[in-house]
Amino acid sequence: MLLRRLAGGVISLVLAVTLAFLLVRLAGDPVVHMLGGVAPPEQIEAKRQELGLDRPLIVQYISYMGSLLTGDLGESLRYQQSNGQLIAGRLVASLQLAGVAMFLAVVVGVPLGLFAALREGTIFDRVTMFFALIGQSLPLFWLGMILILLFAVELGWLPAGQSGSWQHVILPAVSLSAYPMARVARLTRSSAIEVLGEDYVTAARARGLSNWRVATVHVLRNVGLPLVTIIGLHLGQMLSGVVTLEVVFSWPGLGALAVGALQFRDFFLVQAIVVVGASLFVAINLAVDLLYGAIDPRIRNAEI
Amino acid sequence: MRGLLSLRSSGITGLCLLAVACGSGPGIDDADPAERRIRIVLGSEPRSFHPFIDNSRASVGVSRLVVEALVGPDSKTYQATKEGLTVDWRRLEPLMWEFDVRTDVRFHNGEAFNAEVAAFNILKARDEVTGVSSRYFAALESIETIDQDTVRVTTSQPLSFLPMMMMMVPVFPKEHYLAVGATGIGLSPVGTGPFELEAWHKGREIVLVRNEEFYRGAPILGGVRLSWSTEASSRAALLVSGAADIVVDLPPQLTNMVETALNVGVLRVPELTKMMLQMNRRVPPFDDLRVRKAVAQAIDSELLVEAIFGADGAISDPNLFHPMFPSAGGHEDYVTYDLAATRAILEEVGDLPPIEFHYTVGRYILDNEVGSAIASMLEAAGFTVERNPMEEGAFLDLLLTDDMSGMHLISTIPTFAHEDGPIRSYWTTKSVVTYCSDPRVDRLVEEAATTDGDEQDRVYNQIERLLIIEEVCPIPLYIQIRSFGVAGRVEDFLPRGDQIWDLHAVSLNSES
Repeated sequence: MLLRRLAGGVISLVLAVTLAFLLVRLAGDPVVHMLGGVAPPEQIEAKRQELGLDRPLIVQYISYMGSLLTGDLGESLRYQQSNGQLIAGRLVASLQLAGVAMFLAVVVGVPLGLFAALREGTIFDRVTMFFALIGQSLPLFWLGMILILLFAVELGWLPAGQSGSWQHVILPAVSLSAYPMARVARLTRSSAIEVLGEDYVTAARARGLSNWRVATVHVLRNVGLPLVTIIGLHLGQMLSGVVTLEVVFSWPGLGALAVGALQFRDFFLVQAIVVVGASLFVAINLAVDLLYGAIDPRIRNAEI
Repeated sequence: MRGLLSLRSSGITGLCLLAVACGSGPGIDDADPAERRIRIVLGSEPRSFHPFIDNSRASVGVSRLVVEALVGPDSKTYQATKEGLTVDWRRLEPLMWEFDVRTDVRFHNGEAFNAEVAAFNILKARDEVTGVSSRYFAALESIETIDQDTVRVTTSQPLSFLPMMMMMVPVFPKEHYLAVGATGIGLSPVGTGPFELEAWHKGREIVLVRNEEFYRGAPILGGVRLSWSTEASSRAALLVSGAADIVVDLPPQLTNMVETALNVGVLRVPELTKMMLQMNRRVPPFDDLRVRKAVAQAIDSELLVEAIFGADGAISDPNLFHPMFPSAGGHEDYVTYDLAATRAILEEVGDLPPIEFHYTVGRYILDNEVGSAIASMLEAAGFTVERNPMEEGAFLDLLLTDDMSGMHLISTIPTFAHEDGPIRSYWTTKSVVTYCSDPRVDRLVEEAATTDGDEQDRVYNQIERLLIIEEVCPIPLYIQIRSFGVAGRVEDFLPRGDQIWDLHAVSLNSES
């Protein structure tokens, strides 16, 4: 089972890399940008040759895939620096942001969803789900600007953007957490309501277990599976770049790097970002699959 | 992507209105005033500190903080001064010049500056890097070092404005340049400027530190922190919240709002460049003078400026050359807005194919809006217009084929404050692109180069007349006004129209 999933991941990766390779070449000529926009044709041609962009597409593709197999992500056209180094620097920023955002989403979303399920139909439930709906509907950039407005401009408590200290993480992380938090809360609630209707929960209650005990021992463990799926899905999306949010907060993550690379037509950097983003996505999905087994022994046994 | 960001920015603008109304928050930097670094937020990250490799707005200005030009520009007139690395020049013969350079200057890496290094850099400008420089400097026949402080330049044709051209020559240390090459030196710049590069955290921040040995005296600021945000409203928020000292390129819809915030202001400066429409004169329908004239008469540039930029965003100007040049203007028969005349021409010409109109999105201030408005004006006059808003890179790709059909919206290049700059870029038959070129301009520009003073102004005025009145290509539209958001604690900052930053005398007031 694991091998099958691994093979599926590799195929997804190859497809993503191939697509990125083809799409970035449809966007135009990076050499014109590199040479300042008014270079003579002969100079542009010479640079194309130097970079190997004059070769047939299939030759470029084979050469590119060969480099990837050796772990070489190439060199950025814009920065004249290793793509691996550039991405590593940005990945740390993206990990920091995604990690804090996901932490917030889980520590706030799960209890909210759980309490809403335990108090199904009450005002608390309705209010919680109303805000969850809002959280899922708000555009990220809009929420980001509202938070900047309130906490940076009006109150002056937190920086309006950029990075450098723990204070810089708060506003973008809170903005970024809104959507997954809402989804986690809603999913936790619906899964918990389902579990709460099961016979073994009724039996547990009949044995005199408190609501809190029922929720933590029986319900939470059973809603874990869908929760892990949704967390994995969102974490992958966050790491591969939340473009608009990073632009609003001038956050130096992978998304902002991708925007700059696209605008400059830094083919090699765009490709490298896609490779890293797709690899992360595949890796997280694999990790989620493995976690399934840890959470639910029935799945692990079924695999065996 | 630009489209997406542009769409988003319209929503954010409303929020900024509210943001500004709320007032401003406190600053964060509490370091010793003398050592404080000014925080500047640009619109994008510079690609290179070599001005021939990257001549974008983001780079042109900041690169001069580190790498000076051989001849320094005056801060108000933008003309060549003798107060920079070059302290004097003389024209020995019509084709021979001598430049005296400072010999008491050292580069940030300790290398000495002298006439030999100056000659090396002029040669590099002529022979290396990109077509930008080589097309201007191709007329330099020989460059010799006469002694420690004198360089002799011989030209193949008279160039009365040679000192102005030298304002384009970046001065790098010879040994370092030879070691790392043009691309390398653009990424790890070493110069003689008032600031030196301390760190370039790619994609995040550039940190400059004051050059204590600067020959005009060390700057007052301890250094400069350059960062960037592509979103104008984010830049405005950084300024208003106290996280930035200067932010660049605030669009008109944000400047008025930022001005109402506490402790920040907006400084505006007209750019040295001119926005214009160029048409491909070589192919129909613009090979027909009547059609070009009909287009010119269909566009109400005053209304365009007023409606899109408001009172402080741009200046409508019918002349080809910037008003700072004495050669500009004074014509009696401009081709002005006249809808009835346009319709009469269209009737006379008969069926016209749709006109392709290419314009960028995000390259110039509100260019998408300007492009749409021009297309609408043409359609109102009776043209059929195929609008083609383009991303900057795709636009440049197409433009540089020199075979782009239809017409396009473009700006002149801020090379140096002289008529010869835009002429050699656009309107001679040997220009970088030749959409509106005319062989008569070739002859006139050579004639202008042999003269100076009033006579030269007369020739340039003749070129202006030939292009915009007789041939109606290009069609001048307006001058962009660049807006800088500036924190109240910034003192003595004067933005310049030539895009160069001069922070030598700027200081930060701790009491603001």
